[in-house]
Amino acid sequence: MSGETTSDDRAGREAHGIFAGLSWREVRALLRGDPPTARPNPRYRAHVNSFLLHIRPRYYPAAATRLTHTWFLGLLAVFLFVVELVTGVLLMIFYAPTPEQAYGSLLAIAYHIPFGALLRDVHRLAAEAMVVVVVLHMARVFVTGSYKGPRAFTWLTGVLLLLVTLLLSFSGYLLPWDQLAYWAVTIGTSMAQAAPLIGPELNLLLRGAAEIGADGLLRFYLLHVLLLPLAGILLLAVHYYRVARQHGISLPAAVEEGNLTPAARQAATQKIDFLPTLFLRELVVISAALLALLAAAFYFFEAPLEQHADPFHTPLNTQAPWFFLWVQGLLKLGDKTLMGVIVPVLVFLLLAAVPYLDRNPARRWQRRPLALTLGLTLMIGVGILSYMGTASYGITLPPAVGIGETLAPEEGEGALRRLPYAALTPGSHALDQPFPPTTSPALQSALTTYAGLVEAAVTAGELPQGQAFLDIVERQADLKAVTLRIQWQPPGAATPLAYTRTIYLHRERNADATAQNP
Amino acid sequence: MLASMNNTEISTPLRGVARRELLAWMWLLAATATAAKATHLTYGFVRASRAAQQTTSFDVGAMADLPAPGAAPRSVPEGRFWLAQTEEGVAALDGVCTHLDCLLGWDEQAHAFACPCHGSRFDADGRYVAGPAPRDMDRFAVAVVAAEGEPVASTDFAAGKLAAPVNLDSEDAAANLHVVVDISQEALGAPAA
Repeated sequence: MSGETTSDDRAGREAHGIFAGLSWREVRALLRGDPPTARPNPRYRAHVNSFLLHIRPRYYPAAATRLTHTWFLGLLAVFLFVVELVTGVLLMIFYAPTPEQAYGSLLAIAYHIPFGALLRDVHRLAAEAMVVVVVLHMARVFVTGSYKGPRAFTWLTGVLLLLVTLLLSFSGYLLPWDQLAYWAVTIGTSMAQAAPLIGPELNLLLRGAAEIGADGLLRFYLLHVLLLPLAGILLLAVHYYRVARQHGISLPAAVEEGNLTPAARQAATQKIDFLPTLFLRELVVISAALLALLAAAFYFFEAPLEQHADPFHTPLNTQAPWFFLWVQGLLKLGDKTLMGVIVPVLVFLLLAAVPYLDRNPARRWQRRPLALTLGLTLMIGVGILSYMGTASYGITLPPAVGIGETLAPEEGEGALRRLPYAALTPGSHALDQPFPPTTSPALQSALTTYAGLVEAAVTAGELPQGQAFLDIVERQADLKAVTLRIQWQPPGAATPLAYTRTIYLHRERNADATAQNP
Repeated sequence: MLASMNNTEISTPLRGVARRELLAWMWLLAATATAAKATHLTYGFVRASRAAQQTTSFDVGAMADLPAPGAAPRSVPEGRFWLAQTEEGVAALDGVCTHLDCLLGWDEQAHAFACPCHGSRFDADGRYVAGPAPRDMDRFAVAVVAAEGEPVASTDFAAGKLAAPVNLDSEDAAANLHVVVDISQEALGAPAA
């Protein structure tokens, strides 16, 4: 060591704390891709000096970091979890968990607070993406057989993390206090009630009263912002510790079991340093993911907000969140205790037990036909059940109500609400008459859709002698009432039956295409 | 070869429980008991629910305003129930689906209750027709009272009377009799066949 003190060294002392004990020269070398400036490698020392670096291994075997092996799915899951924590804390600043204020604070976040809508969109989108990424991560680990041997317990913590992810998403559902929230959670807690022995108590614990109200909202809020995130962080710590510190990321099965040439094997197990190679690689992945998330939330995604929760009316087409549609599908099949509690619990127990049930030591997919077939069957089964969970399956609306629900649904938009305000030509439009020339093209197109639906129902004999109208009345300046009117004459009935549905459309609403409901 | 690296077990002759060991066990027992009691208290704390101020008695108007026997039941949304005149008398049908607590709607064309969530169906008297619901619609207690307040007819769940039977002599009687529904008393529907 020379006795001279250079400016680099002085800067290095200043940077000592920030760069985990690395000298400034070393940081520059690291960022430029130069080899370490001293021996032993000072970058390894940084892993000892810094808490954040110390939780990362100093190096990984090359093959374990291949993109086609991990797809960065674990990293992405953690990234999305952090996005949820950050956006969640920011949203909490304006959110009030009471039935009187919750919906209003959501409107304020969406329409008045700068970047509020974007923040909420990102929070919601990242939550749904997290479910997808966690499931894909699990599928990857299953296909590569990485859950076997010493990693069995890691898989178990992973299944618990999946459960926490799903419960976090679901507990977040109630917070907007809109119709979707209220009824999805009513069904969810009612399912909990169907659990044997502990059911009624569990339901009471979750709702805080016989029905969901102020107490239930507060309880779900606390679960969502406190208990479940804490559980998630703890489980994540255990999960990560076992992956990074105890067993390492698994090598690809082909490397572990295959006949590789010594050179190929050496290349596969060669050390890749975290600093700088993997650090920079992860930085790129996270930056790209953040950009993609922001762009998707900004241009393509709008977090839904339905009408204010109404404990006195269950909307038509009530549907579970997409990741629980399979449970809704199961529920349509039979007894709620069996289908709503026992079967889903068994599915999770089965998932958790996979490494303990699968005694086949082989990891390569070619040698695991049974395991992969069963895995694929489970995925297909969940897919089919999800389809059966959709509102259109197994729930028949009366034909006229179905037409009204298609054109002007209780929740959501539909063809009529999509019409520009100016296109709503006042007057009574009978569908069996030719449209007057003053009818706007947009309205003509909606009327044609309407007529098609009615005609199909009439042809099918569901609306005998059916006649349909669309009445548009300007109720006051800038407000039009749009009424669907369908009349039909059932055989043998003395008087014709009628169905009417009115929605009100305001000029300003159509000016703002982002509004969900009039 | 590795044997020398293994821990060597030191075998000690078995004796009775030593004083220190007994104390250690007692500590463990005390800690477990404390933890159990703390869990129990926490559970009691979380489980407590604030008593809701809720209306339980609904005067739903005159007998004359009830739907005619066989007609569509009338909804009383503030009480979440439906009024119907069944063959046995006036009945108040709980509008909450017996499956998973969604609110039933009335399907005029099929003359039946329909659940928007999972598709269960019940006839106009609340009897199970189809779907995943486990039992008939539940019923609330009904009393038919004269203008002076004395009851003329009422349900009696203990005796299996699920509707309030009323014999009307004249239209006047129908106008003077009031129907009162008490939603704090409920009879569960009969299991679906």
